[in-house]
Amino acid sequence: MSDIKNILDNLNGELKRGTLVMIVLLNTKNQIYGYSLVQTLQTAGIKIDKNTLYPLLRRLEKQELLVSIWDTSENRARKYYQISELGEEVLAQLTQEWSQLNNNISKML
Amino acid sequence: MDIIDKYIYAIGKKLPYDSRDEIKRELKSLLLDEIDSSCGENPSINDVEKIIYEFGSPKQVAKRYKNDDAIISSIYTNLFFMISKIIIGSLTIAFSTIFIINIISNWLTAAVVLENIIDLFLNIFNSSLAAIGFLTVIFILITKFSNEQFLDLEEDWSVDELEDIKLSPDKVSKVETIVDIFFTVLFLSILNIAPGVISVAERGFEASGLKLGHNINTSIFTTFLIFISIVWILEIIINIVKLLTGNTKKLKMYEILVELFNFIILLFMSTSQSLYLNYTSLLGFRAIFMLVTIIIVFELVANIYTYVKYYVLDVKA
Repeated sequence: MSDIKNILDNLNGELKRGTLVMIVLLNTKNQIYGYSLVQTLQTAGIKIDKNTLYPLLRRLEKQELLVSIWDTSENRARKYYQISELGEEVLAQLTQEWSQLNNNISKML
Repeated sequence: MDIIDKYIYAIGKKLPYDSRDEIKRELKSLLLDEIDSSCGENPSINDVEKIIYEFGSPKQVAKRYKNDDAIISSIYTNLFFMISKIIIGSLTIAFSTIFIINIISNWLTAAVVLENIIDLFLNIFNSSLAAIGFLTVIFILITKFSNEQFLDLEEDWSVDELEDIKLSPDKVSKVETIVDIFFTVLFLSILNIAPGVISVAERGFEASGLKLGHNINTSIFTTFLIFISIVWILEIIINIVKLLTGNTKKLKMYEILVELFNFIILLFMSTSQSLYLNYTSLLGFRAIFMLVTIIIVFELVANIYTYVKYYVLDVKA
């Protein structure tokens, strides 16, 4: 029984990892900071480990899919992320792929 | 709060130098957000510690922010294995050839032949191990160097530094420059204290079964050594200045001039007949000098190209 659980945990993990970038890009249309994004995703029913999300934001920024800006106007500086033009293009193609895959798999079910 | 600063400091020590400050700043902001939202405005030490434990140990957190901590980048794996195979193949061919020539040209007893066969395998094994070890070090350095390049472009950028980036065509790698200085000082000292080391090296070549086509005339070599030493001292000075100021137009120009001087000396060394005794073939130090001359020519061309591109035509990096 625990074997099935382990296998499922691994597969679920992989499934989520595969969609993570798309989820982040979809939720950065407006400027948003790390902690707030975790909250937004949680409210939307997507549980994501913040320890995975924070480094991912930085990685996506390095890949130029996100842009960032430090907001120092409040008493605490926060780094805000937003999808870049390149990110928008990638997201458009990614969602297309996603729909296609979803359709194909749905037919198999 | 003291404990947060200590935690962030501990993470920072494990982060790549170039991106350290930015990641530390972001982590602190994220941590404070978490604390604020979970514990309110006046959190207790225990609350803060709990959040910190959720974030993970400094080592774990730093690891998440490192892209690729492999000592040899995966993009070089295939190349690394290909060169390793070539090395093992070449050494096998080389030692086997020496072995066969030895067997053919000498009347050996069966016991000596057996000894030679064992030696053959031991030699191939030992030299392959040494060569692949050396290759590994080179690839580790390439991985490190290419990472630096990547970080320069992606992370080390800020508006304030824009002018500097434009003006320095190739960023000075501190590790490379320090290694450069170290080895130049080492060779400079060894050759000046004991110029006879060159004959020792020749005997070493011959002991390994290589038949040299000439020997170095050490008294003439000592004269050349004066000029070589001048070039090396100038190179050390340039490297030290490079470490302090980074690449500048003037420095690049001096570098080219010293390289030109080096090229002229090496050209004289490669073509001077009095430097070589018992000359029958190229095999020996003359081949090494000629090889270095060719390398210097390539370096010189590359440096002149960089100089013209970035400093004369002012192409933006």
